[in-house]
Amino acid sequence: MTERTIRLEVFRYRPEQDDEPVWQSYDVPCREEWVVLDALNHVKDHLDGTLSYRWSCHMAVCGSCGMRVNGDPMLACKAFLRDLPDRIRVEPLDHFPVERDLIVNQDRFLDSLSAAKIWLIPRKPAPEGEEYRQSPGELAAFRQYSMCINCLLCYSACPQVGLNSGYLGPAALALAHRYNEDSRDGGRLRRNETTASNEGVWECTFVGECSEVCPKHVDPAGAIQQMKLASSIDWLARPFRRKDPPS
Amino acid sequence: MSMSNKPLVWLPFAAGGMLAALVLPACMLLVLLVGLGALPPETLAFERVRAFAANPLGGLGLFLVLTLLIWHAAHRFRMTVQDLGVRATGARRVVAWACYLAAALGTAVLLRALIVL
Amino acid sequence: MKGSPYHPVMPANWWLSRPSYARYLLRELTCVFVGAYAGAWILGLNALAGGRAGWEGFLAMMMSGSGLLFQVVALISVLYHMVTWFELAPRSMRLRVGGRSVSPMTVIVGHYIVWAAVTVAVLWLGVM
Repeated sequence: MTERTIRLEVFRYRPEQDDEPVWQSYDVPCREEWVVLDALNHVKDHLDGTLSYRWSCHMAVCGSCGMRVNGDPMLACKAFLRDLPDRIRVEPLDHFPVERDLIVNQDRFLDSLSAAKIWLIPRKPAPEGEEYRQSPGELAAFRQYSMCINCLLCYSACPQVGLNSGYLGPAALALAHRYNEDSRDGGRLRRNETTASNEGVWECTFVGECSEVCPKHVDPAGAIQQMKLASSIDWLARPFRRKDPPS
Repeated sequence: MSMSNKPLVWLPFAAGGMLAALVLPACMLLVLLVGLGALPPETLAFERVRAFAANPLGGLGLFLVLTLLIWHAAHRFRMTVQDLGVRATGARRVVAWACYLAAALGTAVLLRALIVL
Repeated sequence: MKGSPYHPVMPANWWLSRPSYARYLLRELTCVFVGAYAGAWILGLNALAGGRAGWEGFLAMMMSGSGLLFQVVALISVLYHMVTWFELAPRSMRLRVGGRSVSPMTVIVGHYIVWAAVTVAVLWLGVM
């Protein structure tokens, strides 16, 4: 099995001892099929047990190991060393406060999920004693947007997230769209209070980088553009609606 | 938070952007070809253009296209200035007003010209 | 300050850090030429309303060396706007015809077909 020595340059920040972040280099003997996460695990197991980072499934479904690899937001478990050079810079996701090393504070995102009401607000009660049926076409309308694993790569990639601290962000908005497009849901107007506010879809300028980095091909940029059009129609229809529903 | 009034400027932006993509290249090509001598200069003769602009349909077309184009540019420019570094709320408001005021001015000048014609 | 999270600061030249960001900014700046060209024509129509002399003065300016250069640069800019606008169009609209999604390529090609028809119409109208 051919081995390759990779130099990992890792962003370190230990609030109890560091005023500023520092970079620390590790030379890691790697197997050719490894991903960046394997290299990090080797560092933690054999070289430096103090290195802190999040990871779980190691198969790109949990969304835990999001970080920047040579500047690009990626899942560490999906960043194959065979696609990367011998020197790899690893740093936390951009635009979030860094708690420690590669671990970011996600409160902003979790608050956005609540603000955008990321749950089903049923249009009518579920049928008694049977499933709430949907046709394949009804499922297809929202399925893509339900694939989000909350990995936050899109937040790291989006310059508007960095420029505007109140912006709800790509994933929260794409998930709102997932529910708005669900035939069982009746909560679009309620979600509009935040998703159609100045901190919602209107902060987006369709840079499109969010969709480029999404490991699940959710296309949040597309979701947001569709929401802009839908919100505009809702806005035009305001004087004709009897009354907006309570929040 | 409440529903934003952004659609008021976003809808013209979107319409203007579509026009800028669909209609503008052809118009620009036409004018450029006249300038380069590939088309006769009479194409843009005073009487011809005047007749077109004075015609109710021609005038309406010119008004809609040109208005939407400048409002598209105003909104996009405003957002770009924000991207390039203007982050304070007060400064952003000034930029927004300046952009839309310029577009409104352009609209007023255009309307006056078309009414005279 | 020890003990608190590190807050990254977004640099003023953030758009230079990735090629896609630079392309985005270039795309957005096409609006400068759209606005300038439309603005020029608003002034042109204003000159037209003022009479023959005003109109011919305006044409002379537009067809001068620097005027033609402006026209060429503006046209290139608007063509870049067109290409990027059409490229993004399918993402903004999800069309379903007869239960099947319309493919993005169909949407883009549809836009170009309309563009071609409009271009022919405008050129024909212009020279007629």
